[in-house]
Amino acid sequence: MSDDYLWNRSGRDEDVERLEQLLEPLALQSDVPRPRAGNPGRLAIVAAAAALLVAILASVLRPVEPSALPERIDFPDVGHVRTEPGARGRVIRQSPEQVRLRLDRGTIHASIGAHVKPRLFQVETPVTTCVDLGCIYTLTVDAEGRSVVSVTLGRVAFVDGAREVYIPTGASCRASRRGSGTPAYDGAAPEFIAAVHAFDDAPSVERARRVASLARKEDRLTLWHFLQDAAVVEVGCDALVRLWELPPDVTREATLRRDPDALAAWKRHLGYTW
Amino acid sequence: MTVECPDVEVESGVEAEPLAGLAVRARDGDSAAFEGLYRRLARSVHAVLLARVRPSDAEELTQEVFLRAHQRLRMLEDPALVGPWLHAMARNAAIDRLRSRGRRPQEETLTDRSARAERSDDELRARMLEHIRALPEAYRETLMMRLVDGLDGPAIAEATGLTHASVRVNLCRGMEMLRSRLKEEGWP
Repeated sequence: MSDDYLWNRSGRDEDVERLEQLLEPLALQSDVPRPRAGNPGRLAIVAAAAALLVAILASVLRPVEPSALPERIDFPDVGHVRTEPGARGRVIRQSPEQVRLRLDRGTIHASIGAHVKPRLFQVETPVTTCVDLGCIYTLTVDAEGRSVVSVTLGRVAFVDGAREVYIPTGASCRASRRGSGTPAYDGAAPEFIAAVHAFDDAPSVERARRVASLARKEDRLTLWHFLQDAAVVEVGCDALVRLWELPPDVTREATLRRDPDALAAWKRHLGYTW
Repeated sequence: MTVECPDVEVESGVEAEPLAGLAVRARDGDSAAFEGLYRRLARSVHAVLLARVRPSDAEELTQEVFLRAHQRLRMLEDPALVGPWLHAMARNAAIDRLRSRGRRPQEETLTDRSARAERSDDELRARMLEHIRALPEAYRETLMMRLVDGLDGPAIAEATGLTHASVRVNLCRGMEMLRSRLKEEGWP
């Protein structure tokens, strides 16, 4: 029998095709950390029952003070979190709709399955909420509640109020009592990162201009987030136009108005899919 | 230092770039290159894991392996061997997982199952996994990559660092052994 189909799928081999069909559901759910719908059916029923049990137990055993987190927390069918010594917090909610962890202090390393639907897994810190969009990341909270997320793979969002900050693979972002900061790639020049931090510490047009002046084409992530901020949208827009040119069908005026369609077009123009 | 534009490259160029080049860039901190490695090698890593641990563990450990790899990329001496390096990490991760579970059986035994009249697809799948896992390592990993994770021969060769001829031999001999065992068991 020819092995061509087995080798490169040319020709036919009914045995191999039948095996492929049988085993396909066991394949890695996604090659890249992209969102996918959760498992329906029996799994959902089991999860709902488990959630009810958790809710009942939580109502009786709800901790008042943040306690030391265990070295590892498993969230079945979602992923797991490893904690570094000293991490304090608690599991707030665990249901099919949402898994919510509170991190009051310390460092966690979250690994959330590629199959998990986006936003299901969330970590609340004293100053922001870190929302999983399918990824592996590290989140640290210091004694003042300031939070820093570094994304190894995939992307997360910092959400506070109506504002969302997107942090993709290889980028980090800080958040403080002032709110979520501005993300930047870890591989950017130290001067650029320092300028971003200075802006986050005390935002001003002058500091934004400093960031823009140091930005290179690849620092578009930071500049795009300036477009969300009415105070510095012009700085971000001018820098992006200088480095990337305007996207087709987008005007400077629409960008300065922070028109949602214009900002979305900018994202696509810059190569982002979130 | 030059930092390439990560997401743009992920969308366009990394599929064609040699793995060694991606590994070099990832080792130098290029996050797009690391994501490219994930795209290109996650399925083979998953297959190596699935050859040893149960499916839910394989899925989770795939991410774990890439997390460890990200932390240890600077220790990768030969970028051309990034695939085998990741696969070795996957084998170690599987061993750790089996130890932590006390080497309990991953699925029900064939004997238990064969006593059952009912053969749902899930059961057939579990039985097939056991048959593949019972093959010699070179065959079982290669067949997992081909039959479960959908890599063709050239892609397996690229991921494993083996020659096309070696992969083809592993696929053919592994499939031959698998056919033989399935026939013995009366599979249609």
